[in-house]
Amino acid sequence: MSLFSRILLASLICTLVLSACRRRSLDYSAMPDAEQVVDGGIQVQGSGGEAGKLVPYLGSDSASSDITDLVFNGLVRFGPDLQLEGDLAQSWQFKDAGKTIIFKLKPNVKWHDGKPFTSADVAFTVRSIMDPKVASPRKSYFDLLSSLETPDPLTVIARYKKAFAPALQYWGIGIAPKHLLEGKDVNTDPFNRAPVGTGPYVFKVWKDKQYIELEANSNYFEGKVHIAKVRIRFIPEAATQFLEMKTGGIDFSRLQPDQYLHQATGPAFDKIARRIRLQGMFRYGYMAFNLARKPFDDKRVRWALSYAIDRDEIIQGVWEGLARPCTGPYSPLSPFADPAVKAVPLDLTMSAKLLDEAGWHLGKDGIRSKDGKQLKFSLITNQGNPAREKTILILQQQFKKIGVVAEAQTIEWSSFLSNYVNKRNFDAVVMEWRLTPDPDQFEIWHSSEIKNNPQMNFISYGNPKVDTLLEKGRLEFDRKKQIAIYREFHKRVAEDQPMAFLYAPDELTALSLKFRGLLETPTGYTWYAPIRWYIPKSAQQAL
Amino acid sequence: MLLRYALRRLLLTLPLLLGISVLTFALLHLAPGNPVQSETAFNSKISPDSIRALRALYGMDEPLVAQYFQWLNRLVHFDFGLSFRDQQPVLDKILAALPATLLLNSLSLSLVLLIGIPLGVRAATRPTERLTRWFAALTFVAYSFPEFWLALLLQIGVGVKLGWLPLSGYRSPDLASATWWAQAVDLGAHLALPLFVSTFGAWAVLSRYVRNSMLEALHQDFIRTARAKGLSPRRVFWAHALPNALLPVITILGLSIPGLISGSVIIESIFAWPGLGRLAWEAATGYDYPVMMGLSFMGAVLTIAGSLVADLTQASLDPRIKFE
Repeated sequence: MSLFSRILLASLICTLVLSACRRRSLDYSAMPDAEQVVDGGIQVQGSGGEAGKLVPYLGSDSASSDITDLVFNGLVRFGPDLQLEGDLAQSWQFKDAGKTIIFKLKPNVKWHDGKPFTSADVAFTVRSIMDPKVASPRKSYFDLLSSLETPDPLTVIARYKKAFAPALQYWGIGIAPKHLLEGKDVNTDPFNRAPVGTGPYVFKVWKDKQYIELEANSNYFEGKVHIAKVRIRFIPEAATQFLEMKTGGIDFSRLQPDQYLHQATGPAFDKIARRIRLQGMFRYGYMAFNLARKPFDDKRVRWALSYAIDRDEIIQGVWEGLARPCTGPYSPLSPFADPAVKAVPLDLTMSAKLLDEAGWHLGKDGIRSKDGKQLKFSLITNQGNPAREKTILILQQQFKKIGVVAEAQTIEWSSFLSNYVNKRNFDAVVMEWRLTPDPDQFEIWHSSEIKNNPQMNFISYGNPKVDTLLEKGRLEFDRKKQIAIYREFHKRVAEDQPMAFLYAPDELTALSLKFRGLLETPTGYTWYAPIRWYIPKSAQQAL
Repeated sequence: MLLRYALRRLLLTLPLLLGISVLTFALLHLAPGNPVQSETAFNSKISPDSIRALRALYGMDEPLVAQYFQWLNRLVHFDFGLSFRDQQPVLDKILAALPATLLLNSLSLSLVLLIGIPLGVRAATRPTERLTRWFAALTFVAYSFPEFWLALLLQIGVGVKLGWLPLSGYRSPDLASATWWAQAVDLGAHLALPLFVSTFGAWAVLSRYVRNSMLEALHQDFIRTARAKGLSPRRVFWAHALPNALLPVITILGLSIPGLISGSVIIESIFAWPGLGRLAWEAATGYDYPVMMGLSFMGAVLTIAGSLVADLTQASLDPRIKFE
């Protein structure tokens, strides 16, 4: 036997041995729909980064909040209708025209170690966040707080220097236990690696760079937690995460449009997971102009460029149709977006007319110019975001049609921030804003923020009418009136067109079919997951 | 003589390490961006107070030179400081990530040696054999294969389509209380793909080295003398040619010591392997200066130590080398 055929034989034997230990392939699709609510099973999530600090008000990364969201509770939270509802708070009341909030806390809430949760824990958490020695990125939450009183263990009275409508949402920050953290250096305390909260899941184990495991809190105040374990696996590579999703190694995965349309498909995938497409309510992409620079200080030029953009081409080319044109500073699906404002249509005649009006005339070389200066600008975005990288190239082509030269360039993120955005050293950028359910956008659009905040109002936008609306919105506690104010704000900003609003992408995810008890709302399935979701017996066996 | 030489080399190491650390420190801080910026970018809720507290926590409120000397002062006390990311001691983080990388890389290095040396020797002694040529071609192909692509192909093929091996990770959490045998099989299954990828093609360089040095050794005068005095071909090969041909391999081995623990960023990231390569990557992207400094310092120490050990070993094996 020659060496070659010996190698062949050996590999054949290896193959046979391996096939013998081949994993059973998963199939959740055959599970009967009406299986009983049972306890047990495990939910496995993938996380790109590793968690950092697990004191709930220290971490600012999503890997940490994935864990703290399950281990801790705030006083309030956003419910399925995106309005605030009580979490640790039973109820709350506004007094003194909104300058005071009185929280009544839920009784009989226990920390995971059995100690009772009281108003003293709330007071401790706020004091700790505001402590100059504590490196919390959330100090602005309570900047306006003038005093905090706890007259009894179940009452918290928060007094503010002035009425501030967005303040309530900040009470959603996870409350930490006073009895375990008082007098300690919160920044470095071992609590960060082994947190104790009030939440539906109890911290169990953290294997460095591998996973964190949580166990159901058998004593949870909101009700029975059905799924016995949650494991968060740290998988840095997005492609690996997606493959793990495909084989049932993790139970959720964010999807890119091409994955959603072409890869998360087929009979094998349909046996494991469902694909979910939600219309994005909080995120939009834009091309922003540097309003402090010529020619973008001229509203006609901004509108002309906006009219020259074929938004559908971007939505097809970049998002494969899984996005919608954006109309203004809220996603068109947000309740705060004025439905009367339509997306700017592609209109090259209008675009040319506006540019002519503004004095930018078409030259012999096909490029518009004014006073001997060509209409040429740099269009930049950050590296590592393929959607934005494609967008600037498409825009470049589209502007060419009206005789405008955009020089597209992709720049590494930190250099993009320090050398361009923070220094206001750019002509136009393509970026995205991700907003919260709260409508307040003061930092992004108020003229006072041009000086204050290097990265928020970085386009130097200022409009006295918009300033007034933003100030009014912060004082309005009534939802209906809020909506009216912010729709007006949406319309006014769209009229100024300080940026060409481009797209609001859909949120695409894959979710394992093994979960039952899902609550379907327009904004997703994840609401109350810990107390509603369960895994039928037939799907509980480990892989 | 040898001792004096070793001592002198060790003394020379000190200024070298100091220089490396200054350079690394400067490079880290010269790069655009900083940890506070990366943590707070485009977050409308960050107030100046938060930024001040974060800067103080990271020691960034001091001048750069002072920051360097603080680092140096801690280092003298064998303290690499705390990671910015999670405030854990850098040394603990490195030690926690060490076993996974050491396991993967020592196995991979052994395989590379096991494949590369015989391959190189055979290529030199039987250059016309079909198998040799076949392996030479394979080596060439393997060497040109991009690691990340091979890794993804294997994950899709062996992991997803065939379902034979786990796609990523180190050990199955569910087996924590299983028998040692089951745990070993589990570890082996997780190890298979990353080990294959990190070995695949890595033998190419070594086998070329061995082949060249073997060819050179075979044309030396003492080989002809050995043959002329009637030694058996076997003895000529084992006692005279091979030991001489392998001398350069010692240098290569010495220089691969730092590689043993430096870990591969690509392989460890793709396979979610909990090793030092991932630690380095996360530290670099997150501006975790203390971890970066700790890792690069350790790398420098090992590189210097590796080359010293290689020199000393070679000297003690090769009587031609004299210490000055």
